[in-house]
Amino acid sequence: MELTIGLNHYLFLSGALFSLGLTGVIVARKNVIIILMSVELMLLAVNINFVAFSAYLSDLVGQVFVMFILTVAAAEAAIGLAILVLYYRQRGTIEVADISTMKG
Amino acid sequence: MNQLLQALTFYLFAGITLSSALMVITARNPVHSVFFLILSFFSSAGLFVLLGAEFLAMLLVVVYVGAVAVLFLFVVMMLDIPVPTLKSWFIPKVKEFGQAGAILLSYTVIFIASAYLMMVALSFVSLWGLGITGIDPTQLTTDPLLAIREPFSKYEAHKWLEFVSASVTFLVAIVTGRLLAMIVLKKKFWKASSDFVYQSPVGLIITIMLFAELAMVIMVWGDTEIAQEMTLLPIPPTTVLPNTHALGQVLYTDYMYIFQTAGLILLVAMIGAIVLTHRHRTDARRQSISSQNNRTVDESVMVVKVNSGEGVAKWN
Repeated sequence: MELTIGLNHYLFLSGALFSLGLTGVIVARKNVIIILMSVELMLLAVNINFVAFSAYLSDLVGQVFVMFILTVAAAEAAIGLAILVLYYRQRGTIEVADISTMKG
Repeated sequence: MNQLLQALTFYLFAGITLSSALMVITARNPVHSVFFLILSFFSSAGLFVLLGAEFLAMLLVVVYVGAVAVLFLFVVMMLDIPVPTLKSWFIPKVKEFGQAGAILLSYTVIFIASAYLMMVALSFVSLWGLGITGIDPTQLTTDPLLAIREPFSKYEAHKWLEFVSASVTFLVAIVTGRLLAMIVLKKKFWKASSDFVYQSPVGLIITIMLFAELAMVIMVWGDTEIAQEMTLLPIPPTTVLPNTHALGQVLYTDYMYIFQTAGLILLVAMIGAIVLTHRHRTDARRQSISSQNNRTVDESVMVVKVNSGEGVAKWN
């Protein structure tokens, strides 16, 4: 435990968060919502990275970029959940293993 | 004292963020996953405040927790996903984790073994190469392989060889691990890949390697000399201009077009979500304003002559 919190601490945090999100995407098999949430976690990790560098270089552009990432993430979540609801109505299930009709 | 407080706050928020992220992907009940996602966002907002990005912290709480996470919650509750009971979930899980652990262990063993063999082979190859070229080993870094190395000119010759051998090692490990998974699962080679038992070790390996690579990069990176000159929008001191104010000043001037595009993306997403999920009900009677407005007197009113005692004749 270091007492001076530098940029590297934040980078390690966001790296760990990103890896956790990736694990969620790969390992989740129960339902697709967990995968969508893991994608949100990965985007959050990217945001932490941007803000940390913005503070470190004292450049505002990183924070502006985070706002646009938030926008796109919100749009992605809305569309993803809409597709999910549509799929559930059609099939009555959202298990990952069952979504194989497209041979994917 | 101030520094200690800052460090404590960082470790607290970082710990909460990471552990709740772990709970998001491991929780049995998806509703719990959403709640842990919310907790994760909240503590990241705390980190943003620590970094001096107050506006983004507020945005994270308002937009993410207030809108996106609640949307997730709505969908999870609406879809009525069956939550496995502890018994039906735990007992198959133990067996699966056993198999997955066996595959992970064998992966590791195969990986180390093939890496070791490759190192041995590599040293023999390089000894042989030195023998036939007659090059003094101490002169090796002054390039005998310049033509081959041209694209990799930033690396030394042995680094290039290491790269090739690492790729081969990795390939060997993956193929052997897959064969092993096939044997454990008693399935055909290509069928095995959709199984949790096969997937989770691969996912873990990929994750661990990704994190190791990220950690290696984080350990060694450094500023370039021109990093300070490349700053596009220097953050003004907060006593002069608060964070929100500074962001607003650039967002509505320098980034106007991108800002509008972001709004457009949200509009498209909104329309898309409505179009996708909207159900047209055939049993409901709806108002049709255009047909109401297009009615004329001729087609809606008819004067019928009624003779006394006969009633209205067939009139349609």
